[in-house]
Amino acid sequence: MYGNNLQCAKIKNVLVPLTDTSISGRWYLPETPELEKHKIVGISVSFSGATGDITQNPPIYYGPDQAAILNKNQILSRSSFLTLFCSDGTEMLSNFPINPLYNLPTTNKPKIYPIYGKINVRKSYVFIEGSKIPPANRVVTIWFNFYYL
Amino acid sequence: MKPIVRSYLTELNVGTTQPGNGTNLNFKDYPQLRDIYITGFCFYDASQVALTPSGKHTVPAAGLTGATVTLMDIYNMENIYQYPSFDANPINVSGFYRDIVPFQLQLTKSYITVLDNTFIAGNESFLVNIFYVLKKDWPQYRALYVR
Repeated sequence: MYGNNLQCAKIKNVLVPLTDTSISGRWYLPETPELEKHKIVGISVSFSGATGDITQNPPIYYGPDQAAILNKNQILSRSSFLTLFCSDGTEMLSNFPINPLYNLPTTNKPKIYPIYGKINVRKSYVFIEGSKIPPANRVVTIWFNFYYL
Repeated sequence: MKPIVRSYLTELNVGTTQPGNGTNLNFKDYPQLRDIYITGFCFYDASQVALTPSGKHTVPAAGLTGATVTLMDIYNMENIYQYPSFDANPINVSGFYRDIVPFQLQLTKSYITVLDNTFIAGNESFLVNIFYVLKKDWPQYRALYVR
């Protein structure tokens, strides 16, 4: 990926299904041991409904809830935030907006955010500012791509 | 772009009424952002973040064109002085965030200046993502930021 000054060795996608079972607007990331063992060097998010995106066509359904991948134009994508924790338990990313993590394929120069360090996946979560989100929009999956060494 | 070791999303609400031209809006005090080296920052607009974590509306892209940001260091030097906030939004600069030569940030004396309030409404918030390294961790990470 252009724009990152550290080359990754592997990529792992982490899917977070958003259902209505959350407490206080938080959806925790699923356990992903391979990410906890390695140093992360980048993160991006893939949306559906975006030109050039791998999840554009046909729609991909995934996960126990058969939830569609979050569409980039849904207001949900613009009201969601990612909080990642370091392996030492402190906050690494605090309320990082999810929409800007989309890597702008329309510019032909896609970027990934070059976050750096080891993370605690189980403690990390997606937060949604819930007051304006209709419940029907919540049954979707957020698709994160983690780049690591 | 240099690596992001930590980031914190700060929100700067303009207040209940439309701010006047020339108004300086100071950042709040965030305990996480004391004793840090700032390594970069970026702004977001309403097309990327509709609602802030506290439920406020984000300033639109047109609003960012009428505002600048000033970042102070611990010696009260204006290291970043009236930088156009629109230009600090990655969506306007091919996805890049603005990485800077790290310095010890004094957030509570840093501010956003409203130059043209035409597209900024009351109760909207500026969203500024601060990328940083804790002062205690700086010796461990400083090599990442050598020019």
